[in-house]
Amino acid sequence: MKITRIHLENFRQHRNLEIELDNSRSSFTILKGRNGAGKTNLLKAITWVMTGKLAKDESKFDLVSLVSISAAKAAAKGEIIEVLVRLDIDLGSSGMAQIERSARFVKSGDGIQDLDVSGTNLSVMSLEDKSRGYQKEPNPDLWLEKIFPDRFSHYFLFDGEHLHKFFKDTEAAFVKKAVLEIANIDQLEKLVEHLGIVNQNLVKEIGSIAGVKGEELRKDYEFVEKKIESIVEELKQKEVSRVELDEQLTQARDKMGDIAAIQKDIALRNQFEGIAQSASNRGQEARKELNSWAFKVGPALMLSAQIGAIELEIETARTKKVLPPPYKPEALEELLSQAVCICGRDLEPNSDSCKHVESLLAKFAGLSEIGTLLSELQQPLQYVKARIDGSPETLQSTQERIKSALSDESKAMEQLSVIKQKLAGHDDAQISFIAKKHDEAKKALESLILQIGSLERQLEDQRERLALIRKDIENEATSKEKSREALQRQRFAEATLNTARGMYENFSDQVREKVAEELNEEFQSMIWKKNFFKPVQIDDDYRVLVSPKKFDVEWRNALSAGETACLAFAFSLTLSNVAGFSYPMVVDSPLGRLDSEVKEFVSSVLAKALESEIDSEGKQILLLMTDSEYDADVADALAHMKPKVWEIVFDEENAESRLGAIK
Amino acid sequence: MKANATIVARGIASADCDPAIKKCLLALFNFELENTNIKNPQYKEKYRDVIELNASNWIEDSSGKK
Repeated sequence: MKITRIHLENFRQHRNLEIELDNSRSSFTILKGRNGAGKTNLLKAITWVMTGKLAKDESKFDLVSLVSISAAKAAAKGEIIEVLVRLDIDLGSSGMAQIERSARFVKSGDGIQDLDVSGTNLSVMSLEDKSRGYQKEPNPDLWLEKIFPDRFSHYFLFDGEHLHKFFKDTEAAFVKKAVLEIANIDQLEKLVEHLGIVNQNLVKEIGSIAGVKGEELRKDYEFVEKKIESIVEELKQKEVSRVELDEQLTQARDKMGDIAAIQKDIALRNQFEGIAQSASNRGQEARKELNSWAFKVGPALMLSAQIGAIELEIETARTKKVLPPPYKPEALEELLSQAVCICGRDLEPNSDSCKHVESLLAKFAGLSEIGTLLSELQQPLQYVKARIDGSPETLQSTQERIKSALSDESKAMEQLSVIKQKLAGHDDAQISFIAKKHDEAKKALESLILQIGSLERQLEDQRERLALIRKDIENEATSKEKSREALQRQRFAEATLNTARGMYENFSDQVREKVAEELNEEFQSMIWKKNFFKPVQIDDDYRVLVSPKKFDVEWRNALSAGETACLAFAFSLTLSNVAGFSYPMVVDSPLGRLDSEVKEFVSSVLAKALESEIDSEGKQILLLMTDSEYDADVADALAHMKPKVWEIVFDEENAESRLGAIK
Repeated sequence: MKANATIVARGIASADCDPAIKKCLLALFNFELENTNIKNPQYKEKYRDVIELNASNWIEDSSGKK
């Protein structure tokens, strides 16, 4: 089965949209557009025409919400607006068909919301024999249900954003319906149910014709029957609550898992805050040292040219003998008065040596003030020079320390920013609230399980009681000639019921196992961890189970987003394979929740699914993707499948979507 | 496996059970198939008729089976 044309009129932002899809063996179309361009509403339009719902969980909705705003605005009071979706489909060897669902509205006022529903319609025109042309199907609902069972719909027309919900326990009932739909086992199930009711009626019928006692027994039978009905009803409700609570508990557990992750992140945040702080301290310390170094050495460095000039001046002064000797004149005078030479020898008064010293003293007696000052500068100059000479090493090492501290701080801050982003919006109150919810759900579930157990025991007791009454009715009937025939009828009905029940159990087990087997083959062909998982199972409660080989635990919740997507796509393909029908797959945001590296992989899986040789008709896939989903890598991965790519754009001025150029 | 309605129908036809039960089951199954999408089908009357029609050809043994 393939969709060859989609035609929309006044459906939300699609005022008038027509898309031609090819019906080749591998029909692959991509419709890309920005958020709000109308992709999801296109999926809803297709789902509406095929099922009457907008989505699996959107069966109740306001019809007025379907009307295009621009159409409602443009219409005059009293004018009729028709919302219409039409699909042309190719049924392969079964011919062609045109399915059209419409809703009409009358504009009752001037506002765009002033619309009254005047009628809805579903029509199917089928073409089985070309010579006879298109024929109107007398019962379009029945035709549609046969050609595209409602129970299958959400495994083929779905929103990729909801893929993760596909195999939750709450979905098991849908899996059961979809699986049992195959081979019409659901009809056998209905047969068993109806036969059971008719059988009970036959028992009562016997009672009513088996005399006074028989009539009393019939009343007892009816009483117990009603009691059983009420217990079964109560059990059903409790079971629904149990599944809901179970789901709540799983969610709370998931969140508890998140809390553990949050706590880990908090510890990491603290650690990185410490690292960043320590690096910042080291940096500050090094900067302080640099400042102090600059304060000490800076002026000297600034004065280094002047210092050189002073040195030169000192040297010149020495050469010109305007500089005092290394010994101060006072020291020489002291030596002279004590008659001791510089070398320690005695100086004979009036000796040549003594005269030499006296002449020296006389010579330098008139030293200039500048000369003295220059002489005094020599020592500090040497000190400053020493500092300047060692300063490049000090500067380099301090700078290195600052650089390293800055780098450490920046790395820590980067990590910190990531963690802080992850931790954004969490607080202690929220965490304790989730923990409280978890405990409450756990307690409620425990109490509910006890109640269910008690109800099940009551049900068993009542069923035993019913069987005893039935036996009494039969005994009573045996003794009455006229009720023997009724008894024979009832026993026949019971034998038929038992046979049917046995067949139902046998067939449903066979199909369930077959679906699981095929699902496993499809799933394993899609994932890269070929040896990691045990074969996929569908258990008695129709839960799809995937467990790793190494651990005897259910791993379903731990499947990655990519693997969950694979499991969902595999399930859709399996249903097609096992049912022997090829349904078109229309997926909105197929890669929406996937990481960029998984996107490419899932794209190739989809492309592979398209190549799947499941039947002579081949597959049809229509993907509705945003620009970010259909990126260069995804386009590359899908290129060899030669998809037909359309662009859907939203015209803000007219509040309408239209198809852009074919790429 | 290409499953379809014939699996159940074939299963009933080839079942090792009393011919009257087999006939009854096939008739009821066909009724269910034909009325798959009809709301509130008048199944009680139909079932009773089919049961009545086939019950007379059924011979019960002491264990309740033929």
